[in-house]
Amino acid sequence: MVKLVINLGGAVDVHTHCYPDMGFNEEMIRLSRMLGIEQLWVSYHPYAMTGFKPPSEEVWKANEFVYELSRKFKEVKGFVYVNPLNHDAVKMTEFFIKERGFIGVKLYRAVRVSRRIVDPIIEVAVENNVPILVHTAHRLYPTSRPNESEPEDIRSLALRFPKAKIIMAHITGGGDWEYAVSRVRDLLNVYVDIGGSVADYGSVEEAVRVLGDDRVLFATDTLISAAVARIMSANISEESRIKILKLNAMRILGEQ
Amino acid sequence: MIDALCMSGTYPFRYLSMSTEAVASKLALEGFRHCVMFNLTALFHRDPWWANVEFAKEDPSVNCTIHKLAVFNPDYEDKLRIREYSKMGYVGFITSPIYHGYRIMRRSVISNLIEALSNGAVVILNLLEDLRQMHRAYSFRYRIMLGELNDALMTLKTTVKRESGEFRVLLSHFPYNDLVNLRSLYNGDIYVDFASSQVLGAPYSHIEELVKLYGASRLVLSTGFIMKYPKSSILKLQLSKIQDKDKEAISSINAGGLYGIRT
Repeated sequence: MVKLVINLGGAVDVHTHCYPDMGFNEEMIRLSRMLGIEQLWVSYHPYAMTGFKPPSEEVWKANEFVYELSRKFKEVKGFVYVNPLNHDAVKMTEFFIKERGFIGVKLYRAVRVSRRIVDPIIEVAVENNVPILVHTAHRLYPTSRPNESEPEDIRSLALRFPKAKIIMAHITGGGDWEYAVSRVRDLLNVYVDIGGSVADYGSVEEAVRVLGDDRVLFATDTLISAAVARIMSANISEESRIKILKLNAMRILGEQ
Repeated sequence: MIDALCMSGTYPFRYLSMSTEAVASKLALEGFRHCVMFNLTALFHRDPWWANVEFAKEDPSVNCTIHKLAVFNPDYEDKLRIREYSKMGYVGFITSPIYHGYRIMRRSVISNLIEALSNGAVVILNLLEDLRQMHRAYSFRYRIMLGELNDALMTLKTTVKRESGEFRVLLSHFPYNDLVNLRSLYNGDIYVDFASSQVLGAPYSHIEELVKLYGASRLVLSTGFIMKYPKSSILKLQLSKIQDKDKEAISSINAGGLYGIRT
């Protein structure tokens, strides 16, 4: 069999997670190093919590776990996981950005981002010029997840906060990715990441065609082989590939 | 490497279309020397005959040798047509998606599957329809039920082994959980691939587990291209923690045995 020779040239994985199981985290770091992924934007995996609306104490602990991981592995950059329903959600967001050096905010399924309750958290992100990664479903027929954001919720958020840097998560995480990218086409402050398990041929090309290569970001969502396969197989220019793998993420952080 | 299952043609549920030559050329660039291909258009016709006839005529000159599978609606065929497909050069058959309305244990279906098996390999395809774009109420009913699949495999194996001795069946695009659960029902010979997104995209050691369940000699590498990026399966295999000799078998030797391809 052909030997594995892949070097992603210092790629940035803008959406991945850690688990309480350090064996998993170490394996993720090992694979990332082997493939040339230099930065991992990490938040605690929501499935490792007790529910989708975890209590404040649990979220603090989870974020501290990410902080410890970032001290151990230079590749790890923290995203503060926030449950907007918690009374101290804003305080937590500020603390982890200012005191722990986290570089972004992660919102999961406690509440849709079209709800005004998320606004104070977004204001903190905008003030500190950090991106907000929003877990998003792209289902045509959402039935069982009433608090899960969809592209329409992302639209609402982006229009309320034109200065916010919003990452619509994993267009290839399941669902109708053609529909998803079309709904945020005109919102220049919305980026999409190509994480997730779906290996549909043409998904990366379609995102680039609709949004342009400046608004598409490389991500694994911990599913490394599928993500690397997508970006390496995609029929796009080398210039676009480099932007997606690295340059766009650096621009979001103001490092380019 | 041998790609144990890929496809050309047009997928009707989103914009996706590629010629046979383009598919084989892309696979050649990925390192495949052989690929086993069927025609997507035929898959979505209730009667796949004419699309199969057209596909049989295609003979592009590319660095990846194409071995063809006839799409086969086991509820619609008859023995004469199955033999005609073999004369056209097809090395095997791939079943139509179950939403064409058949039940795999129906007597006529089993009879046609037995005839197909005596004329080549048979690929039982799990739903290729894009489940994620369907309403859950509809998508569920199109799944192949494992109990019924087990019964069918047992019947086919017993009959075919009695008559010709060769039982070459590949289960393709089955989700990991189905493959695990099937093994507790059916313990006989069977080939499986890992082309389902639920295996390709999983962060877990699914390849290692499938090797334990089915044996390294029974896994094959299917890309599912053009539905999926071809590197997905390759990378999944390369990054798995199984022995190099097993990777070698999975990437070429096993598919060679399944389809009778000499490498």
